Amino acid sequence: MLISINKLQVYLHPAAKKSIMKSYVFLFVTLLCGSIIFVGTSDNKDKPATSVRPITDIIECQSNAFYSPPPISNEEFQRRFGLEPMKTRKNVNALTQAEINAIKVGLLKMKALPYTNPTSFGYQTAIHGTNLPDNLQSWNTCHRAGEGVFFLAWHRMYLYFFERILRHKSGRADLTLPYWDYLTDPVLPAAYRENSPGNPLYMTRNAAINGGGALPASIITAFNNSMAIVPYYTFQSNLNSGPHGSVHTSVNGAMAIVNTAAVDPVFWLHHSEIDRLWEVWRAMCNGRANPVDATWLNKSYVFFDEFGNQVSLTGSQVVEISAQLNYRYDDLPSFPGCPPARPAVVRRDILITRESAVQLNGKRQKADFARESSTQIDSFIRRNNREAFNFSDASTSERLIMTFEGLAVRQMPEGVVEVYINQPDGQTPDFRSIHFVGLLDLFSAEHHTNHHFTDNPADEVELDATKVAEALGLNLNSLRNASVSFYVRGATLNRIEVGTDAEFSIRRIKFSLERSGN
Amino acid sequence: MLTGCSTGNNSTTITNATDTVLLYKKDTALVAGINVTQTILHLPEEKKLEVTKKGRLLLVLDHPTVISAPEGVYEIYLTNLLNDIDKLTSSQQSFVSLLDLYSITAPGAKQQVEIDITQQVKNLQSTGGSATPLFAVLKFAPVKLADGTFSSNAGEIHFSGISVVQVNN
Repeated sequence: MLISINKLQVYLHPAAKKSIMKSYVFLFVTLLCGSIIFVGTSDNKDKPATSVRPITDIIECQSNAFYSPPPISNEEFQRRFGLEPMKTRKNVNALTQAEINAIKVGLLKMKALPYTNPTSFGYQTAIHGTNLPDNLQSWNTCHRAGEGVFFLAWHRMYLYFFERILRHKSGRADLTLPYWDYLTDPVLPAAYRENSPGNPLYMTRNAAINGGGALPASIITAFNNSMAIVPYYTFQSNLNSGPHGSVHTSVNGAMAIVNTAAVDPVFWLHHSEIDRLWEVWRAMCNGRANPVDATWLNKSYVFFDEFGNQVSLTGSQVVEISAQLNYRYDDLPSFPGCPPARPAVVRRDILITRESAVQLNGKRQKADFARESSTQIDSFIRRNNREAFNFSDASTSERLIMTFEGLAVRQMPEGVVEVYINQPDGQTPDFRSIHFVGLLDLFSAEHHTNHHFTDNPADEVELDATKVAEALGLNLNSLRNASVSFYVRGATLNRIEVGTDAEFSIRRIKFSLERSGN
Repeated sequence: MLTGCSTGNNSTTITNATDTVLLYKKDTALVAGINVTQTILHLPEEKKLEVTKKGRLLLVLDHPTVISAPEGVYEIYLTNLLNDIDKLTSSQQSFVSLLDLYSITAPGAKQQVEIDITQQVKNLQSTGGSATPLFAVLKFAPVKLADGTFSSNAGEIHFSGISVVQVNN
């Protein structure tokens, strides 16, 4: 028999029927329901056990009737749960037989408890969802309407406390929930497919999956696509609604239905992986970050620890798995945090040659911009009301970038190709002069040309022309008459340049202004 | 394979492994400024598909009913090249996502599957192709069996309607 009144919360196990048949039970839930509710049962031995109506079904307070403790403070959480050694969640395929056995023992012990016990398998799985009419504390909270934005945080909390209970029941102090890395191995681990008597990891599922079949490859693609998404809520939504759900339905059986999913032990493998992928996503940085809005940070949910005590956690308490929850994943290093974001860079093309800009076959070649349309410069001057470059303003520094598009090499020189701006005619180019911009990187282009990396942008070469533009005193107006010269310079032997030629073409040359800073 | 099937209140059925449901969209009627505008397909041909900067386009499958579960997943593609449909793979840009039949089993869940197709529509537009006519493709992708063959059990799923929704957010 179990009748416990724990801070206005009532659990009534069907096995308690015989004891309570002979008496009336008064239950006070006045504070929550606004009235005193009287529940009575008469002595009727013919009444089937299932006819004992759950008290929560009688009182119509539903889930709101439960007392929810205030969120636990960080200090209290650490005092109660944070003093143990760091736990490591492992790839299920790396578990030893002893570790698998410990999980089985833990599950069997949880299953042996009545479903009204918060540390039982029945109670815990009903927290995710259940078809039982009871509506006990925290049941059916996974897919509560309008709370999809807490998908990842809720499951992290859920797994954390389920894992604590499983560990406690297993008697193995280092037990953790393993993860199924289906992105690497899409076959359900053998221990979960072994249809042997008493194996609590086995369930009836999709026959192909239980037969050693692999998840469809597009699930992996869908996961990878989700990981590429930067905004947290978009990432979470995409992860949740496509690949996450597809693993559920591909495994099928209990896993395919929200109200029964957690009953399948594969559920815990799957959601450990989802939790791990959240960490992988965060470590990819480049703008990826957990939410910082108060709604998410302060949203709390109630779970139970291994002793059946209620614990209320908020989103803000589950963002750092190592520092806050004392676990890590075996293949992920401690997350050091992302480097500070680089200031945004905006690049605007201001002058572009026509197609077939340069065909060099020999020693030197010149491209003259005076013949080109300069409407983009006109537009830039109009919009910004200035002709001068803004190279020196530290807060919004500009750079003048030259891009050589469609660079195709047919003959490499035995030397280098030098690039000059406004190189005077009749003078031998000198790389120590103020006209010298830099060297054209033919190596990358040659590699591109001969290895047919057609989608590789290596046929684009860039040079920074800022210093030359400054030295020559160029402004936007004078740039439109600029010329770009290429000079093939051979290697020097005994202080004498060795004659060499080159043959290459450039489809377009482009001047762009790159602006960074505030 | 079902071609040119669409929309409205008619039932659309996936019945076997070789079925690919095509949604032939000549156009969409998207009304800007309203929070959610739902437009049943079969739309005026003159209108252009519009993707605003702030908005999202959702492909909505109404009332999916799993008559029998597939041994695998349904992949969703968006393409404007009908000839490509047999060659679609998830590594292509036209791959949108997977049909999520799990979330709809949650109590109180909307009986709709919503798929964000904004990026795919933008991709189609940026590659020079018009976003219309547009084919939404549901393609069964089976579980690979232990012997290297593929499951042929595509299950059976019914939808009561298909539409495109523009969400301004």
